[in-house]
Amino acid sequence: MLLWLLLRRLAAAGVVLFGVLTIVFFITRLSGDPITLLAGTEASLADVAQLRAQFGLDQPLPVQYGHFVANVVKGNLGASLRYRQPALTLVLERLTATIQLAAAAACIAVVTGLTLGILAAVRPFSVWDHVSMAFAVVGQTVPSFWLGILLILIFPLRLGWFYTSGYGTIGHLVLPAVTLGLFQAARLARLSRGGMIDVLVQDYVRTARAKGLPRWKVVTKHGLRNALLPLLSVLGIDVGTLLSGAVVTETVFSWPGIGQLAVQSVFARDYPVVQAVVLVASIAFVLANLCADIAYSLADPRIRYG
Amino acid sequence: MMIQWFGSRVPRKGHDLGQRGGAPCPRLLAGTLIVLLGVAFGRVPAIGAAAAPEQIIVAVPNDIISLDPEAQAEFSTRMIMEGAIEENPVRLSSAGEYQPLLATAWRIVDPSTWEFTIRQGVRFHDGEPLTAETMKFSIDRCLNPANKCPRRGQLVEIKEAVVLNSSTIRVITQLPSAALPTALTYLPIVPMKALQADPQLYGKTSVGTGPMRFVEWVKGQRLVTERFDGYWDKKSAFKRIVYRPIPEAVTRVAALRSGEVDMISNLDPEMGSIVERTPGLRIDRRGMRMIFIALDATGANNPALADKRVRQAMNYAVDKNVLIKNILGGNAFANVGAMFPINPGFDRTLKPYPYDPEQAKRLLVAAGYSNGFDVTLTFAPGIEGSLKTAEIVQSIASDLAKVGIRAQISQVEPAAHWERYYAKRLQMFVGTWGSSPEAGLQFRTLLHSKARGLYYRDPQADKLIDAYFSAMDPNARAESGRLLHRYVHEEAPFIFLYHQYQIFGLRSNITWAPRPVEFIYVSDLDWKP
Amino acid sequence: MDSPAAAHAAAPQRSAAGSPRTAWRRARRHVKLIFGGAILLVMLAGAGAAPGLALHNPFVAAPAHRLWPPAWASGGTSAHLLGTDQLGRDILSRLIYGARVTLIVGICSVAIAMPVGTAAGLLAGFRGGRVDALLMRLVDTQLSIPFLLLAISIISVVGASTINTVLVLALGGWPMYARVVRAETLSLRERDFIEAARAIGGSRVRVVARHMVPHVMGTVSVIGSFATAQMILLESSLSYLGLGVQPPVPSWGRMLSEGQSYVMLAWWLATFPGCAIALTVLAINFIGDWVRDRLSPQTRLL
Repeated sequence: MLLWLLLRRLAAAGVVLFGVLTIVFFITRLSGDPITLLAGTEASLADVAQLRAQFGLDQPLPVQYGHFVANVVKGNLGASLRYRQPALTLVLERLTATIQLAAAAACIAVVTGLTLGILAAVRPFSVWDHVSMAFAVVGQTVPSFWLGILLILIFPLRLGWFYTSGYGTIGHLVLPAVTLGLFQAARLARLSRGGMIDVLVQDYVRTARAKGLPRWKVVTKHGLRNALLPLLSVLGIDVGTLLSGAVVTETVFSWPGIGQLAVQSVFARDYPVVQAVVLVASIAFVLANLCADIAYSLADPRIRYG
Repeated sequence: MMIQWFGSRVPRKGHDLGQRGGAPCPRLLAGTLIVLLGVAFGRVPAIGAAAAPEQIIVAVPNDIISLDPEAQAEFSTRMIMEGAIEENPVRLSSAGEYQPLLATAWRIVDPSTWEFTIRQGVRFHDGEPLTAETMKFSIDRCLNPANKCPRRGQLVEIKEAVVLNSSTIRVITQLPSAALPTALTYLPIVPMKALQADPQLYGKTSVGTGPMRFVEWVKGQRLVTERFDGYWDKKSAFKRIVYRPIPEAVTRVAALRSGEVDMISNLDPEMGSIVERTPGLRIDRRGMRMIFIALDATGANNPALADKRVRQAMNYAVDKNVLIKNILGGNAFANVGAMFPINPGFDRTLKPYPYDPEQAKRLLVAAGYSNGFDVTLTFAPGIEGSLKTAEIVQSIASDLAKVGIRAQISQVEPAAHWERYYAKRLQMFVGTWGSSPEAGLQFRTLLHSKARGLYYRDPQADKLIDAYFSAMDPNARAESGRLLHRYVHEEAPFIFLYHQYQIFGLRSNITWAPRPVEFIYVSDLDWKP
Repeated sequence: MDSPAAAHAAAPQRSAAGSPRTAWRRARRHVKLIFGGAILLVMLAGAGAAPGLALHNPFVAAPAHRLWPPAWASGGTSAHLLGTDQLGRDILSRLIYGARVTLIVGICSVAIAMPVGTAAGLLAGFRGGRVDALLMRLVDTQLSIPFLLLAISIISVVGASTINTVLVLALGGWPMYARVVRAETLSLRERDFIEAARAIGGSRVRVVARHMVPHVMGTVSVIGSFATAQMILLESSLSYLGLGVQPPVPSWGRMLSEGQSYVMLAWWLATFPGCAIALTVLAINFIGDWVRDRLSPQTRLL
């Protein structure tokens, strides 16, 4: 049953990925070509035309699309027009950095958000409630580039903690991860508080309390599990948000991930790299959703996918 | 599934969840929480290894694109590579003249032939000696269309290179060209034997004749170079130089001030003043990039611009001094007639157009535009290294509005800008010219109808430009330069603005010999305790 | 132990109807709406009255007056209460005019995304089968492209302007509605009253419009209110990357991103628009909370 479901989902995912590549193909090529940027500002018209021909960009769009599809099926996403190296390699080289950042941000978000949200739920109207709701509000109103720069100015510059930019140690990871994770933490705080409250007012919880179970046991055993279910499906969508947010965060902190590569490549019209980045991001998104759905159906046997 | 969390509700007071409701407390800000998190993760001191001159770290806005000098023409890559790992035959001196580098002497044999003498005793990082054959190989490699060398355009005036002996080479041009040495500043000398042995050499490493040898390049993170002890000239003062890309300007400045890096490039004037005020740091101004507003003098997209009086009116309408003083903080000087002060023939008697809105209005009325007209002003922020492009453009638009010219601002990104440029869709746009300030190439590329002919086509200008570049005798060159300068000043194909300096921030201990270009030549750097 | 119903029932007994205490209690239930609504009304009023309210022209550059601090700081003048920006323009006036753009962008993008997404979700949930599969694949396809990349690519093609920003943000927003509405529709579809309506012979469109839409509107309004806040934040990220509204039109997001490069020198450039954004987003979130709390008894009874 599960296997069949998995196969169907994978087939659907394949369709999605193909659609994604096609959309990106046409959008990037509609926005102009990289030749004028590559040729430099002092090139002549003849050079520009020649360079364009050499890269095969002067052919009609459907022809180019045909070549593209043929190559993709073979697993070849082309070579970066700027770096002159295979696009997929470029992306995969930097994928580790983004995964590290996203994972750290997700950890921060989950730990902070859940803790604050649950605390707020079990102690309504107390200090914890107000603190966590203030946190949730502030965290969702601050744009990430502003937060990032603020953190840079306070911590490495004023206090001498951590680093302004770069990659290599955990010290380098802290500020970017906080910047990226804050928005998600705030969201999770609100959601988990709401979900938790919902669960805690249920009759079966009161029954458990009435039976004399200590509160922490009630919270973890009954409350947590049921409150987490809707969060799972929300987390699935958030992989996309994390990658989007990484774009800005990576630029501010000079974090060598695929977000920065993606932005540079879009601005430089480096099609193969843009395509490779989007492909990798889509695969990540699809996988994350799949895992979330599986986890969901495993956790709650009442859920059935028709 | 998802309905559940939307249905959550706020518990009412008096609803016992096992906790008494507390009195409302003042809301604490999330900042406290973040700080606590920071403490929990532990302190890491952020002091860079910049105290001793063993290693210095240079932070630039963009990573290099490629290790192959003939595979890219990007300024940000050239700024680092030329002067560290690679070298050209000639270089500009602080006075703006050609200085021997890998070529020790040159002379004109006949109007289409230059003869260069190659420096003896120079070795590449892998030990290969530099000879005339190496230079010929480098020229051929770039001219070969199969290599897709973006710099080909600058060298295309070269017909062929002929080796006379191991230290002499003759470069024959298609047409007489007085500016050939300028073209050679775009030509890096590449290692012939290493490339013949391994054509994919530049995919892994970089080999040149420069003072630093390549160690490693981790894309997006760092380019590490090490002192080359076999360098033919003064060796690098630093054993290691690391180049790091930091795209965000504020982060760059913060990195310099916190000690993580020792030198940064591409500062705004305001950031420059902050760095100046910081003890232990100083700023250095380099280059004289010319910034102008190009006008579509063909009138194809806006007939008003075809009239010389309108273009001159625009020059009178813009207050350049406010731009230079207020927006650029004095970090520029006024441009006259699109010529650099070090160009041969620069006419010092010419003065920039003064700020005179009344004169502008008179000219507009004379041209028949007493009610002004509409025009589109396109720019890409930071295009070609221009500082504060957005502010300059908005200030100019305000100035133009005061004389009745309604400029609508269109901000695009660089790729879109170039696309529109080559599609001849622009009316007014920001242009810059930064490299080779000594030869006057800007006239040939921007104003000659055979070069691009997109926004300015004038047979008279073509004649003057051709004369300027084929005059091999220095006096003749200066004279034709004067004529050209006056003509362009009068014709006003641009709104002439200013020459801006690029601002670098660095440790006070680092000294840097002055030069009118923006490249970071390692042999110009030194350490003063 | 008190149940919610008991607590409600108990309350009126404790004080006479119509007394200030009852009114105060009732007001406290709606405090979020009052607070949020008040802020939003002030913003909207300020935006609407911009030409009369703003003392200075927010579009014309006056570089001789640039970077003057707010009136209370040293070097400031009372003519410019919140100081001037990097082109000498009055920040307060730009904030007031900026409210227009920011609120328009935020509200319009939601106003476009909401009906489109809801319609798609209803269609997918109600019709099921291939229509459902097609629409959900479309949603997945779009969601799996990181939104910022999609936005940059599209704006590179169509050019940056206020209207294009609205459209791009709307494009980014509709999938969320579609997904949630589809889920609700799927569960609603099996319910008795829907079956009854169909059995009576009502056309499908009628059934959907009269019976389903009211039920999903609650959830949709909640999403919409939070989405408005998110759109406002996304607009500032787009401005940071150089896309978004064209200069010299002020928007809070643009002012914020332009101001953050002066943050070491002139803190007031970024702080005031940042506060304005934060306040507006706060207000909208409060209203969203209130809507959700108000609707929750109903959604829970479904």
